[in-house]
Amino acid sequence: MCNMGTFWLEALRAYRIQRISVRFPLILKLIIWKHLVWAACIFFDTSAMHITAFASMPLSGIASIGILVGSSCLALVPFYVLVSRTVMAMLFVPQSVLMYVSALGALRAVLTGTYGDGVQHPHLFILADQCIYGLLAYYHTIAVVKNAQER
Amino acid sequence: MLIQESQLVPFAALVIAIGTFVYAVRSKAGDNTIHNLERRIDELQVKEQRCSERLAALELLNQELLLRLAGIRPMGDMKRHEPHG
Repeated sequence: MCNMGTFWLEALRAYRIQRISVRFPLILKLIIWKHLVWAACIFFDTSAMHITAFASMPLSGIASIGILVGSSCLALVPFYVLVSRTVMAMLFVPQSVLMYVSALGALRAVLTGTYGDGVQHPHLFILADQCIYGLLAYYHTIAVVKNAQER
Repeated sequence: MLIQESQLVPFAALVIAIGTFVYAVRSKAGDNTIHNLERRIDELQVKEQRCSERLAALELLNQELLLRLAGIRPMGDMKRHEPHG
């Protein structure tokens, strides 16, 4: 038999836990989608691994897909499960590594004047094209630190 | 050389990511914002509720044990030992 008192108590608890759960910043959603699209592209065509933002990762196709999908899944966990500050920051580390690899790869391309696949262009051309990865890494870092601080 | 040139970027990225992790864990910057304090109050209320439930269960257990010590069987035991028929 359904106990109404227990039902309302559980509903109240669920509501409170929902309030405890963290906000989901748009930048993290964007990065998760970006990594999933990359994984899909690498799955269908391994030449997608040689984009400038990912060319610095010395990995095979399967490993790249695994890391991209795995880091996205790990980054989703804190938004559905109540975790501590340390665990939350830890779950974002793989995604952060990928973001910094993209940013540093873009920086290297700007400095050397060469894209990840070997195509050469003027430095400012590459800077205009690749600056988004540096900005994404910067705002991702802010979002991760702010989210962890709110725990 | 310990790190090859091709591994330099991932290694640097890993070092920066670990630095970010340490900063995020140890930083106290956002601790006293209203949003954070409200969240902590909510967490404490949930914990308080769970603790009061556990306390009530323990009190019941305590009463039963005291009754047993006094030589009085609780109602459940008496029912169990009722003669058949």
